[in-house]
Amino acid sequence: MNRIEFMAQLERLLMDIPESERSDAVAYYNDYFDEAGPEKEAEIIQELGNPGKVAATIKAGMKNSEYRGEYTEAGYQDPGMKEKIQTPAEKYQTPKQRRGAGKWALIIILIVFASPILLGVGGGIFGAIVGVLGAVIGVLVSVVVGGAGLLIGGLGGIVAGIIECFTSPAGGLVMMGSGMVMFAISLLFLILGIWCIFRLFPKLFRVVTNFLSRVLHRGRGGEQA
Amino acid sequence: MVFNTGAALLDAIVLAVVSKEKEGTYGYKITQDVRTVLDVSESTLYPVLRRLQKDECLMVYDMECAGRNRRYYKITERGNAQLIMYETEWKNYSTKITQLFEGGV
Repeated sequence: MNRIEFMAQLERLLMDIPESERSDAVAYYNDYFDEAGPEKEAEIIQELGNPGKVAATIKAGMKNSEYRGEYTEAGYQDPGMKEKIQTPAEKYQTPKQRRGAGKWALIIILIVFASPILLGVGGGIFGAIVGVLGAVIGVLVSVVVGGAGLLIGGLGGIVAGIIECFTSPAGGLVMMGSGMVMFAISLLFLILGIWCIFRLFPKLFRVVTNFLSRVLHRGRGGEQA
Repeated sequence: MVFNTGAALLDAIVLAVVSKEKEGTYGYKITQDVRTVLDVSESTLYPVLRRLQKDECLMVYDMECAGRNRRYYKITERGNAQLIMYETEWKNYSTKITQLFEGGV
């Protein structure tokens, strides 16, 4: 693309802006090429990019002068999307602090009004946790006591069965057999109890603490938001 | 440069560049002069010059030079006042930041 083509395209792209604006811009760029000289023509065209980009920059500059874009290494940033131009006086104001105070007031009000709900919900959660812990302890106690009962009963049954064998061998064998079954079941209970203490409880404890810390964290996060 | 140049600072730089030439200066030269301190693209300055012209901070006039018209930009009274304001603001702003960087607030 040479200078003539570039300028013709630029002019076409500026057809939708007022005549005075268009002729001014076109004159400026024509002038620009003249000043730079023919030897820099290609360089300038390359740097300008395409006529579309130049036209967009011109139109952006014409838009609401309240909104001005930023000029960065990457060129002109979309105006209107960027912050409003600030007068020096406005620059030193920090609306953030005012917003901060208002935010805190809102948070305090929120906490005051939400406290019954928070207490209710918190109480409910606490109750549920205590309930679960109680159930777990209950299961453990029943396992231990039941296991102990079965162990004693089973051993007793075996001993009684051995003694019974001397008088009536059939009844003695039945007693010994049932005693051994009870003994075996008590051993199962023992294994279950050990598993509860070393596997289930640490896991449950972790689950509960995780849950609690998440609830507390979310509570704190909610206050900050 | 890692810092973005806001519209106000670019206005200030352009006004300063134009004010250096008592008889006025033209678009290509303004661009080259601004480019000695700031990496701006060739298409950046037209909207700035146009706006400053509309705000009556700059005035334009055409002068014949080498057989054709050249458009010159010259700073106005209003532009000068604006430039002084910008210079003062810049001094305050940059001094504060420099002080902060160097330790004393």
